[in-house]
Amino acid sequence: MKTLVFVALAFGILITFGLLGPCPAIAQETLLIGQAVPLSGPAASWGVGQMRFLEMLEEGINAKGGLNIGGKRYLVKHISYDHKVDLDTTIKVTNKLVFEHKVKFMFGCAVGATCRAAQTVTAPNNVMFSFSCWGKELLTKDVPLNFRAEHSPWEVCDIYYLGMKKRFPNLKKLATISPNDTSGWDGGKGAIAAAKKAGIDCVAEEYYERAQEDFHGVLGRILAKKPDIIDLATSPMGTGGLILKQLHELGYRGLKAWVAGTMPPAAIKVCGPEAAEDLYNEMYWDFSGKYTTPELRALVQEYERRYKEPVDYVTVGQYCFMKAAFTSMEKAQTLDPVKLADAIVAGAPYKSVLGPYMFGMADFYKGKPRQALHPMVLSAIKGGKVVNLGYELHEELKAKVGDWKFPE
Amino acid sequence: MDITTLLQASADGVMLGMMYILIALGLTLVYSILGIVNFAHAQFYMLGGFLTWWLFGEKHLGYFLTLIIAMVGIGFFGVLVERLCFRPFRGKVLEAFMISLGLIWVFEQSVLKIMGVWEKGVPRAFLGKIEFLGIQFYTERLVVTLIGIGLIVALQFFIKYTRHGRAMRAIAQDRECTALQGVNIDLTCSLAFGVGCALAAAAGVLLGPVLYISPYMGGPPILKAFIIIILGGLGSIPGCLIGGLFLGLVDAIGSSFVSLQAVEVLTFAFIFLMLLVRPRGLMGGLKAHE
Repeated sequence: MKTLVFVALAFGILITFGLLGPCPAIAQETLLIGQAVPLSGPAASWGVGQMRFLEMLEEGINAKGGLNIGGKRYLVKHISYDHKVDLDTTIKVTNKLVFEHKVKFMFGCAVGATCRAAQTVTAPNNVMFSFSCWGKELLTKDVPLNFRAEHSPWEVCDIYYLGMKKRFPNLKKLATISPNDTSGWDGGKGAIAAAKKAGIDCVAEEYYERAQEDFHGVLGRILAKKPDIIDLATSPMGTGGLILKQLHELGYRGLKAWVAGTMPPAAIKVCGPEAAEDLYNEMYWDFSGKYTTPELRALVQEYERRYKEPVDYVTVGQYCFMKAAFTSMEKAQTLDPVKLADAIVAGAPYKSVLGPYMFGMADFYKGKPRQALHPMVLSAIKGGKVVNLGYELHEELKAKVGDWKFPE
Repeated sequence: MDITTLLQASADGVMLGMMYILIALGLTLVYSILGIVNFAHAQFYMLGGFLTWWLFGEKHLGYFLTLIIAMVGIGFFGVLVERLCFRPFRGKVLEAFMISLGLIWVFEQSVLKIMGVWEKGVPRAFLGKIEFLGIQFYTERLVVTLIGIGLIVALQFFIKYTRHGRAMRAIAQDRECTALQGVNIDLTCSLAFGVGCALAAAAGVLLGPVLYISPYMGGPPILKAFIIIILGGLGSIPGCLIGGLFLGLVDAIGSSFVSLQAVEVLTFAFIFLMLLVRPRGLMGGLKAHE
């Protein structure tokens, strides 16, 4: 009898403490964001940067208690896998993210072929997939949940070459040198087509394997055609720097273009400031200089303080997309990728660190509006420094935001 | 075909070839003596490159002093790696292969963590051009070629005329008999590994100012080294020389007159033919551990 009373009392005390214990007002869930990104290899700067920006956003969102969707609080958590710029590995890690971790959102990927590999898993499983890869076939109607987070050469080239022809009316001959893969061909062909519209003919079109080490021979062949401007198209930073260095060694002092150069300061570390003189591009500008928003300057400062490395345009673009996506999740109160995709487009233009940020180019890509558009800043390397020269708005963006200007 | 361009391209080809030979020689030396195929061999080339960036590029040490420090330092580091990582698995080919793959990742990621993801440039060591018989050659490339030739000749001298070199040749022929002769096998193997790593480091120092430095710069050269070894024959030093020169000349002349894509096709077409006609390579032969 005594034992029975004792047990009942103990049970009662335990239940009471349990009921009196702290209880969250709203149930907390986890929103898992997956990434299949290059964390090693020559493209690591893009993948590591995208992962870091997702971490920064995650910290900011979770510090405020998470995303408030459908009466629940969602803490954001990311899982990033290294795809090693290998197609088999990309598919393996994407399968893991989609089927094991059950992610519905994959934010971040770089290097064209790996995006194509990943979308073979994400598209049939209705996973929203944002990336920095280039290639027309990544935004067709067959992949409506794909988003490209920043400009590709197709958005930039036309405006770039028209602008260059205005600045340098005597520009008549172009030479391109680009990697021998889809990104490289897109960049090379894009530059040639855009230059042709501006009245500049292509006199040399070269493609190299990414493992190529020495460019003396091919550059000698290009220089024999006496181009007025040489476009490095989608050359990666280290290789681009080497090409600039060897062009300088071979005596070339003319104009250089790098339509898809996303991080010229990294290339300057390879080639030196003299070799980079008169390099013009629209995929990188001085993030602390003229024609930038105060928010971008603050973001770059914070990133460099935390990671002691410079920021790349590609990763900033991905940051803008991720922020737009998280904002839209709360605004549309949905975690359904299909509904969210429409909500993201409908909610544009966003006030992003790059200026007004929206999605368009549905006709060009023969799909839905999934290509990010924002103000394009033209910069040049002068005396070893990046100097911002001006900016343009893509016609679709201009139609939305009118005569928008950067704050003084 | 412009003869001036052909001669200049050939000079570039010889320079590149010498550098690939330095890496391939180290690889073939290690295989001949230790019986292992060290896939991490080009990581010592990468370490040599970073040491050049630091000592020559940042601390402004002399070029030749940097070369000596890199070769000696990385050579000793190689001895340590052999002692700790490969000696316990001597004679076990698969295990040694796995160790070498693991070492690639360890070296790359360690350097990536310390040095960051961005590539680095090294200032050019020698500026200007030298004119010879009406042809202009870049001074830097010429010096690199001459130093490469010098190192190859020094290696040949070491292998042929020194006591340790003779011991290495003896081990390559018959390890057990060599041991019976009183040769310290462990010391000789460590020395061979160290010499191989020193040669790879030298290539890193020489090519650093010509190209650029990156944690992943070991990838293309190790592939080229294996191509050279296949062409020339595994375990054959003269074969390495022929294979390396062939590869360098095809690369430079092909890119100057045809296209970079054609270079890849030509190189692999030749390897295919070589494997069909003479699988051992041009000068390959049997070694003691086969």
